Amino acid sequence: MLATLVRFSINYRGVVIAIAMLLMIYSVYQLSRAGLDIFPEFSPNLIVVQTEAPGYSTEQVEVLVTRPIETTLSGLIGIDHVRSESIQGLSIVNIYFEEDTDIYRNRQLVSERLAGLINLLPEGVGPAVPVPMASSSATILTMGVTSSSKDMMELRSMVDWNLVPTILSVPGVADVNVFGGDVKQLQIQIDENKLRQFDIGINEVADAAKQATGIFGAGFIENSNQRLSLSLTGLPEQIDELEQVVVKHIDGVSITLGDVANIDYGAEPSFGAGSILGKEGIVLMVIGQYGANTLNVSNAVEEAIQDLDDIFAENDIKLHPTLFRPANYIERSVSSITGHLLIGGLFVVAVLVIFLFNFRTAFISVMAIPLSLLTAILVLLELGVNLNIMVIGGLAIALGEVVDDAIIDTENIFRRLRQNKLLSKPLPMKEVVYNASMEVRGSVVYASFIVALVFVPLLHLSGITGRLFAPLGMAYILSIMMSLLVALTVTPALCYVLLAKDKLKNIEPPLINMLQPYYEKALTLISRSPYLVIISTILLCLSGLSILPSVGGQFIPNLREGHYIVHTSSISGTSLKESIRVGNQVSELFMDIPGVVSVSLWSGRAERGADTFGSHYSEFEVDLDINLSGSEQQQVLDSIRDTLNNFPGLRYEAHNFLSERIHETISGYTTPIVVNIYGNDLDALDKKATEVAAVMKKIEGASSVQVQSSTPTPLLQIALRLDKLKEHGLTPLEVVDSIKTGFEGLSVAKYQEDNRIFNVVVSLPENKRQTPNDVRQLPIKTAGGLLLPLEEFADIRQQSGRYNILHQDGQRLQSITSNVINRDIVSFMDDLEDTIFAEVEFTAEIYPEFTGAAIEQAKAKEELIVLSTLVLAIVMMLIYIAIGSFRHVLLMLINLPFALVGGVIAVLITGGGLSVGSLVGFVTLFGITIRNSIMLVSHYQYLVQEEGLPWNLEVAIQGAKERLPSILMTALVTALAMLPIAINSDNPGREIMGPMAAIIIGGLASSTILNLLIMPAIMLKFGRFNKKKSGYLI
Amino acid sequence: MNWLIKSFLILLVISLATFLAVRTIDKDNDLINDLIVNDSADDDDEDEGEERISIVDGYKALALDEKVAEASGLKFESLKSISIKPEFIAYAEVVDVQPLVSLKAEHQDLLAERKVLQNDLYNHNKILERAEALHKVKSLSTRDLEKTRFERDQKASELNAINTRVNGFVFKVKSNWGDIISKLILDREQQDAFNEVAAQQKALILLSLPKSQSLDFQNQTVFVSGVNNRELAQKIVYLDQAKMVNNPLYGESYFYFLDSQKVRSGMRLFAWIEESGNISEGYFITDEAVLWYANEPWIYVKHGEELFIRKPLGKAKKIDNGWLLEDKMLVGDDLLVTEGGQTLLSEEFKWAIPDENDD
Repeated sequence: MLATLVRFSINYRGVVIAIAMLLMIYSVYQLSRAGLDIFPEFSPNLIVVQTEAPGYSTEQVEVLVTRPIETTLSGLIGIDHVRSESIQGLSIVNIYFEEDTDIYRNRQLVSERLAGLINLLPEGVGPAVPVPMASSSATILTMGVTSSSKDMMELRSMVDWNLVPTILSVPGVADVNVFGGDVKQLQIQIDENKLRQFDIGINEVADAAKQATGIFGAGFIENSNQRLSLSLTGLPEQIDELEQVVVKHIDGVSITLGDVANIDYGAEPSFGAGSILGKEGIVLMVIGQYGANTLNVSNAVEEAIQDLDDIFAENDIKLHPTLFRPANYIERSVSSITGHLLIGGLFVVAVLVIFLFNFRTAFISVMAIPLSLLTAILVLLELGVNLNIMVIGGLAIALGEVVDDAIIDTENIFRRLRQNKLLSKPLPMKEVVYNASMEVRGSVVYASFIVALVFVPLLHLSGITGRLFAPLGMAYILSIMMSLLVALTVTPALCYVLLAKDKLKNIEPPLINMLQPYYEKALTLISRSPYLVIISTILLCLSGLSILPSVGGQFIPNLREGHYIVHTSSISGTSLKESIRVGNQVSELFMDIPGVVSVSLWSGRAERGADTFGSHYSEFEVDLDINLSGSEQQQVLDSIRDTLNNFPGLRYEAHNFLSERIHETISGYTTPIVVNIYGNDLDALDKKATEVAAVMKKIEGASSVQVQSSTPTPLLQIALRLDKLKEHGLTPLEVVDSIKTGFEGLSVAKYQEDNRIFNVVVSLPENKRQTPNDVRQLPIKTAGGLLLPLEEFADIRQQSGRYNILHQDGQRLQSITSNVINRDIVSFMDDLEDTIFAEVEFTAEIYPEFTGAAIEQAKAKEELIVLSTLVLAIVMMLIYIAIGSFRHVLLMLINLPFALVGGVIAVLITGGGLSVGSLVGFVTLFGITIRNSIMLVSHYQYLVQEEGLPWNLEVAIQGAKERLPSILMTALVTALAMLPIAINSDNPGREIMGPMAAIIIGGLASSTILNLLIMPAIMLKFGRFNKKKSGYLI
Repeated sequence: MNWLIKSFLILLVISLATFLAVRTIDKDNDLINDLIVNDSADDDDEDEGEERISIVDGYKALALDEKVAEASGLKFESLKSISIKPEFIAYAEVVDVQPLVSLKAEHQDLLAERKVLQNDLYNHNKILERAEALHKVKSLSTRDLEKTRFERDQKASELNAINTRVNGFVFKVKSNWGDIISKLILDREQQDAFNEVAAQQKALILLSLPKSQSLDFQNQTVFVSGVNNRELAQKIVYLDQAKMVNNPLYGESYFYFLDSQKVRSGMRLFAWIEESGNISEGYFITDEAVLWYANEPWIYVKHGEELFIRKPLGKAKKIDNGWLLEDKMLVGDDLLVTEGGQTLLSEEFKWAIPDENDD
C-alpha cells in the first residue's frame, strides 16, 4: 500500500505538489481565522446552581433551599456526584456529570427540573438558577472604574446600566461580575424614635409603603369600535410624593411616611466591594462563555467599550480597561514562541544546508515543516479543537521531528541518485527515487508510529492533567502523522522534480567529509573493548537514574503571565469596610514593589457569582510590567509573599492565573488521606470528626491531621420568647417581619427612572443597623398598640455560628484530612480503617467513608500502568516488525536509559524540577531515540540482507558512517529547533515547553552519542544479521 | 552468554517500563499535591502568630512591630478624658387642658351654688329669729313657727349637701391631678397661672419614665423637644408627680410646665433626663474603636511601643457616638486603636482563619 502511495506520488508529482500547496494555503487561511486561547477547556463537566436566600441563616439555607434543590435534581441521568455549600443568604449546588456526557444536554435537564422547584422554595428565595457556563480560564478581562467627582452610587448606576449591558452584548461573554459601588435604591428609612412618638409599628410603615408605590398595568377597555389601553399615573414616585403617603390616621390627623421616616436614595446592602490602585472603585470581571475564545472575546469587549469613552470622559469617569488581561499572555506567548520557532526553523535550514550541502535537498526537507504543521492545525481546527498554548506546545516539540522523516527520505534519495550517476548503466531516475524512498520507508513508517504511539497514554490521562495535556498530545501525534504522510508523498514528488534533473555533483558535504574519518577512528577504538564501554554505559545510566528521584517536581512550571492573583482572608465576620481598608493598605505596599503596574482588589462576592466568599475574603489582581522577565516576575511574587507574611491578621495565597484556575477547578480535598463522616446531626458529626482525628493522629505516619470543620462565624442570635409574645398578643412572624424589614430591608416595590428600574425598600437607616444594641432596641408594636424594644421579646446574644454547611450527594459531611510521612499510603490506609472501626463507634446514622487523593491516585496509577505497558508492548512489536529480531529490539532499548540520563542532566543543568511538561519531554525523547536506533539497525539489515555484505567491523563502520549524516541531522535539527525555547525558558510562552525542550536536547545529545558511538559496537558484539531473513513485511 | 544478555535486557525493559509508568503517574498526582502543599506553605506563619500573643495584666496582648503596625494602617489616638452628666431618653406628652378647664368651671359652679345656699340659709336664719320673737309675743302661731324652722333646716341641709359635693369634687380633683395641679384648678390665687395654661401660653407636660428609671425631681433637670434633636430641647419646670400614665407599661410619671406656645395638646415629645448621681468621669471610647466578641464589646489599646492589648468594655456606659469608660483599667499613656481593631482581632485569632479554597 505504501509502495503504491510512493509510486503514485512520483508519477503524479504535479498533482501531489499542487494538493500540498492548496492545503497549505487553506490551512493558512483557516489559521488566520482561528482564535487563540490560553489553555484547553479543563473545567469538569459541572453545572452550578445558585440560589440567593436573603436574610436566611446558614442552617435555614441548607434545609429550606439546598436540600429541596438536591432532591429535585437527584436521579438525573449522567450525574457523577453532587456537592453543595450553604452559607448565610446563599446556596450553591455543584452538579458534576460524568465526563463523557454532553454538557448542554445536562444543562437542559437541570433547567427542566429547576423549573418545577419554584413552589418548593420559601417566599423571597431564589429563583434557583444555573450559573452561566464559563470557560476554564473564566476571566476574559478584569477592568475597573473610578471617578474623582462621582459618588459610588452614580458610578455603580453608570456601570450597571451602561457598561455592563454593553459588555454582555459581546458574543462570548457569559457574565460580568461587578464588585463595589453602591447599588441605588429608594430607601424609606424608619426613624425608631418617630415610631415611638406616634405609636406606629415597623410593619405598618412597610404596609403603607407597599400600598403606595409600584409600577402597575391597568389593562384596557374595548368596545365595538375601539380598544383603549389604560395608563395609570399619579402614583407617588418622587421623594416628596412618597413623603405624603398616609401611614395612619390618629384623632383626625394623618401621620405620613415623611413623619416617621426619612425617604432618600441609599445604597443596597452590598455583598462585595472593590478598590483600584488603593482607591475605592468598581471592579468588573468579564467571564467568558464555555468554549469562548479568550483573545477574540477580549478584543471584541475592548472594541465595544471604546464607544463609551466619550460618556466616561463627559462624566469624569476613569476606566481602567486592563487590570487583568489574560489575552496579553496569549499574545506575548504566541509572539515569543513564534519568534523562537522561526529561529529554530532557521537553525534547521542551516543544519540541512551544511549537512546536505545542497539547497534543493534542504528546501525539500524544510518544506515538510510548514506542510506537516499546517495540515495538523487544519485537522485540529476541523475537529473543533481551539488553538491554545498547549496545542502550540505540541506543534513546537514536533517542529524538530516533522522534518526528520523528510530528511531521511531526501538524504537517501539524494545519495542514491548520486550513486546512480556513477553507474555505467544508470537506472531511470523515477526508479531510483522510488527505490531510495522505499529503502527507508520501514524506518520512516515504524519510527513515526512509535514516536506517535508513545504519546497515546497522554491522551488517556484522567482529570485535569488529561484535559490540559491531551490537546498537546493530539497536536503532536497529528503533526508526526502528517509529517509521515508528507514524507511518503510530497517528499518523493519534490525529490523527483527538483533532484532528478539536477547535476548532482558527487561530492560529499564537507562537514561529513571532515567528520567521517574521526568517526571511523572512534568506532574502531570502541569496538576493541566493547565490554568496558557497555559496563561504563550501564554505570552511567544507573548513576543518572539514581539522581532522578531527588529531582523536585511541580504540576506545571510557574507561568510568567505578568500577573498574580492574591487571596487574603481575615477572621470570619470582618466587615467589607475593614476588608477594603486592609486591602487598600496591602495595595499600597504592593504598588511599592518594583515591577508592579496596577493593583485592584475586591472583597466579598459578586451578586450573581457562584462564589461563597464572605466579607472577610479579598482577592487582588496584581498586574506586572509587561517587560519583566521570568526571574523578575518571581522576585515580585517573593516580594508579595514577604509583604503578606508581615501583614497582621491575614492568611493568603498567591498564584499565577493557571494555578488559580486549577485550584478552583479541583474539587474536594487533595490530601492523600480523607475520612468523610456522613450524618444528619451537625453537632454529632463535629463530635465524631474530633474523635476520628484524635485516633488518626496516633497512627504512625500521620501528619497534619485536620478536622475540616466549618468555619465559625460570629452571629447575633435572636431567640424569641414565646411567653412574652403571648403576653403581648404577638405572633412570632410579626416580630420576624419587623426584624427582617429593619435590618434586611423589605423591598416593597420598584420605581422607574427613565429606563432604569430601582427597588423601593423599607429599612432602618444605616446608622441604626450597626451594633447589637441597635438590634436590642428595635421597636416592636404589640397587639395593645405599644412599642416595646425587641429585647422585651427575645434573648439576644452574640454567638459563634456555622459559616457554611457542606453536602456531598445530599448528605451532610464532615471531613478529616491527613498527610502521610515515612510510610506507604496503602498500609497507612489499612491501619487507619482498622483502628478507626476498633476505637470509634459508628451508628447507622453516622458512618465514615475512607477516601482521598491516595485512593484516586491508586486508581489512576493502575489505569496508566496498564496503558503504558500496552503501548510499550505495541512499540516493541512495531520495532520487531521493523527490524525482525527480538534480540535487536532489546539491544535498541538500551538507548532509552541513556536518553533518560541526558534528560536528567539537562534538568539539573537548567535548574528546573520535573513537571508534567518534563514528562512529556521524556516521552518525546524516547520516541525519537527509538527512531534513531531503528534507522541504524535497519540500515545494517539493509546492507547485510539487501546488499549481501558480511556482518563484520567494516560493515558496522560503513553502515554507521552512511547513517551518520541522517542521524546527526535529525538529532541536530530536533535539538536546534528546540534550542531557542530551551534557553531562558522561564519566560512567557516557554514555561511549559522550555523544560520539555531542555530534556529533549539533553536526551538527544546522550542518546545520539550512544547511538553513533556505542550502538555499533554493541550491535557488532551482540547483533545477529541473517542474510535470508527480512523484517519488512511490505 | 546470550541468555544472560537477553535476561538482562528483558529485566531492564520491564523495570524501565514499570519505573516510567509509576514515575509518570506519581509525578502527575504528586505534582498536584505539591501545588496544594506549596500553596498552603504561603501561610506557614501560624506559630509566629501564636508567639506574638502574651498576657499582660490578665489581658491578651498582641506584639506587633512598629513598622508592621504602621504598614497595616492602624490608627490610634490618645485617650480622651471626659466628664458628662449622662442623660436618658423618655417620652412626654402635652396634656390636653380642656378637662382642667371643665373641672375649673364645675368647681366654680359648685362654689356659686354653695354661695347661693349660704345666703339662703342666712336669710332663713333671720326669718326664723323674727318668727321666734313673734311667737314669744303670741303674734305667731306655733304652727307657722315650725314651718319657718323647717324651711331653715331644709336650707341648712342643702348647704351641707353642696359642701359635701364641693369637698368630694376637691378630693376627686386632687386624687386625679395631685395637689399642685388641683391648686391650679381650685385655688383662686392660682387663677392667673391657670389662665396661662388655658390660653396655651404654658403647656402642661406629662412625662413618663421607663419602668427601670426613677426621677429625683429636686435635682434632675428635664428637657423636651417635639423632634428628636437634643439641641432644640427646652427645659421644663417640675410641677408634681402625676397620678396617671399615658402608657400602662411606663413607670413613674410627672407633670411639668413648658414655657412655650408652640406645642399643642396631644403632641408627643422627646425628653432628655439627666441621670441622678454624680457627674460621670472617664475615657471616651468612640464607636469605631469597639469590637464585639463573645457577646461583649472590646477595645484594643496600644501599650508601649509594640503591645496591643484587648480590653473589655463590659462596664462602660453607652453614650452618644461612643462609650464612657469609667473603669480604671486604662492607663493614661495608652493609645486607643480607632481603626484596624478588627485586623488585630484577626491576627489574634489567625489560627481560626480557614483556607477559603479547601471547600
